[in-house]
Amino acid sequence: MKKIKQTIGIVFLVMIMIVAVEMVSASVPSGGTLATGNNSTASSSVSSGSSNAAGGYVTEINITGNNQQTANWQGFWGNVSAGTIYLNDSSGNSMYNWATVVTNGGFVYATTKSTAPSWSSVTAISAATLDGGSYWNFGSKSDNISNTYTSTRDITIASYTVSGAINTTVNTYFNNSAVSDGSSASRAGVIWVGEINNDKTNFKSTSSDYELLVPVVAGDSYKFYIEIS
Amino acid sequence: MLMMTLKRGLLVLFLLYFITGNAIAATDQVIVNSADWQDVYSGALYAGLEGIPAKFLVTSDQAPFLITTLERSRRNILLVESSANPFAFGYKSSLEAARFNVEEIKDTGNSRNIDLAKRTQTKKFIVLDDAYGYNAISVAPYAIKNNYFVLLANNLNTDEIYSFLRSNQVAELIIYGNLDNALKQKLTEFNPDVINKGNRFDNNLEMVKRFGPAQQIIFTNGEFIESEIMSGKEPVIFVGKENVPDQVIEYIKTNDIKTGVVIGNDLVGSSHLIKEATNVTIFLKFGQGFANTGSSEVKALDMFPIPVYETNVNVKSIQYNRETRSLEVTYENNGKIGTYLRSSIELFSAGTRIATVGDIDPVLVNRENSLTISYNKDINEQDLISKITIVFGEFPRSLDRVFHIEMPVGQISIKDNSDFSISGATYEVDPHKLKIGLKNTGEVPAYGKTQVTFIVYGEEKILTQDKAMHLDPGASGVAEFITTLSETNIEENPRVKIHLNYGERESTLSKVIEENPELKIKYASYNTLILILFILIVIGAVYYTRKNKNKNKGN
Repeated sequence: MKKIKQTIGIVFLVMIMIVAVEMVSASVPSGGTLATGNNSTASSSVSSGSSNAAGGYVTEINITGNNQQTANWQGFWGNVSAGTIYLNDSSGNSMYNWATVVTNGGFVYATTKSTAPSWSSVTAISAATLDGGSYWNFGSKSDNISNTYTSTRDITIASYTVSGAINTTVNTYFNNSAVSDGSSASRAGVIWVGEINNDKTNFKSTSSDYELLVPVVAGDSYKFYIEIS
Repeated sequence: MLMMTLKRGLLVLFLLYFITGNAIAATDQVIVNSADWQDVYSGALYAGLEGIPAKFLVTSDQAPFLITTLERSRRNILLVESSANPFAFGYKSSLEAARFNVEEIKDTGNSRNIDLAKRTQTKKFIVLDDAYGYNAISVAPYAIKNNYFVLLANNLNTDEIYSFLRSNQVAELIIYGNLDNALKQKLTEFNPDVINKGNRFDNNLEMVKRFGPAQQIIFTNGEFIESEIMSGKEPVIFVGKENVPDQVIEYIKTNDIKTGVVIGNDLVGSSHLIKEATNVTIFLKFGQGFANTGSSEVKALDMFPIPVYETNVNVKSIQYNRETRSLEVTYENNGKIGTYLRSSIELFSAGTRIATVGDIDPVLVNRENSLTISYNKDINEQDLISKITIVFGEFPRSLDRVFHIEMPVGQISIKDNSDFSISGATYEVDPHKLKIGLKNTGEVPAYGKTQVTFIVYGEEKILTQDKAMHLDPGASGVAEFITTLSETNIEENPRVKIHLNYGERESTLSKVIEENPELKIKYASYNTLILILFILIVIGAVYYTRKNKNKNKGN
């Protein structure tokens, strides 16, 4: 009887130990596998060749340390004019015919939220807030949001006008802004807004209708929206 | 003593590690590695019910890349994988190499659906026919919001589904859309709530109403799975690929819907129609991008296609018949399912529109078949050009496709002196035959093609002859349809609806008769009765002969 009690006691302790080990393991983030690829940002120190981001899957980039400025930002670009739109995907389906989508001066939106934003609740949000701990936590870095989105403007989204939305101009032609959809005080509650300016030269010296600069944390994925006119 | 205790402890530790493994940890996310839409749907549904994210492969190329997009903090993965048809082999190993803990569910089609149902522990279920994949999309938001698991039924897993429900103390059951009659009958013991308004759009609007008030909704066409659709956050309203049914526009106008999000790059045209008709603000979710620094083009969304029956109509010919003063249009249905269509035809002469004709109500063209419709119109001009717009779809209230064509109008001068009558409708129980009697009451040989509409357990069923029947003047004929009607179905059909297209030319059956004759029932055929009588006589004769023999022996 005594031996049985001892065994039960040991089993109980062992179970607690296993759970504890699992909890500790879960809290330690493990790194992913980075594949060396091509860089399409001019200021990066990556030694690889020219970018092929346009033609295939997103290429992961191994930044070799010198220039940290691009580590926090990613630029997305594309076309949304009426006509044939090319969007590469995993199945190889890349062509859609948009008879009419949006006119010049409309917006492309990007958010990390996995479901659609609450479009009717959009409000302004300050760059300082977005640099804070609940959001991108860029703090006082030289390439933080406050140093990138340095102006403000009024924009109208889904018939709601947001006064004083933070703003920046990318590559001369493309105005970018950011607003909150009020759903959560986190990255998922932020909508990045790229103003459409048809057929302008982008950073790759090709023609696109928008360029949108968004902050990134490893593993982020953005969903893109456009308002139908 | 202490050493013994320690040894025992180590042994227990060793055993426990292998027995419990990673099962102690709850699942953090679901990954689906399968080319079967039902696995993707079931996996995404399960994740939605558990409130955890789900991702799915759409090609093998995507497999390595998907791992890089997974949230590292969600280490415990439930991998739903097809043993027969995965996109990537050895995916469990790949995930484990990336330091995720992986529990694998690997089985054949429907059992995986039920396996996941068991894991959810819910007692609320929706049952639908897996032949109508769009129904699964329609119910998904409601199911996730209200904790229902969706069971995908077909004629091979009827018993499995029934047994599962039987052993699960079903609290609530919904039957959605068309379902096999045998299974429907079995499920009556669970007192199901049946939703079947006759077409996918009306069924879908019923689910939207049940979802509850929503100012923001998702528009899609039910032909693919996408993560937002499976989130349960907003209801899904179906729009057609090229056209939006009237009842959908009406619903949007009369319910306080402020914003819609369209998912599906092919639905831009429909989105525009909705916006013009309702003034709702519409956003198109069109792409995705991944954080890798540098820059990249926006990619298309990950969408898993659901098998659909393609509808496919065309105009075979259009000609003006000067003898009958009518425009004869022959429509072709090249698809695998019967299709309803309604057309509007503008006629031009020398660039000027001179007439418009068309259909008020949708007409059915059987699969891989054609139908000629005659539109009466007095036209004297020659060299006519027609501009034809056809809306078409699976059901009369789901005309979600559009076809445009411009064609020159031929000129003919042919009189049609044919005349037919419908003599009656009979159902012969024994051979399971529905028979429609026809007679050529005209003075010329003619052709007739019959369509009969009746009710089976509350749902309308339509049967059409593939080929027209030829009858000489004065001759009678019978159009036969093989179908099984139970006693309940017989009671549902005191009358049946007959639609007869006929004419002198087999290619142009432009005349129509519609009647609702009483359905007469024959419980045994005359031949069967004769056979039974004959057998009885033989048995009687044999018995009588033996009886006499025995009597003589006794004597």
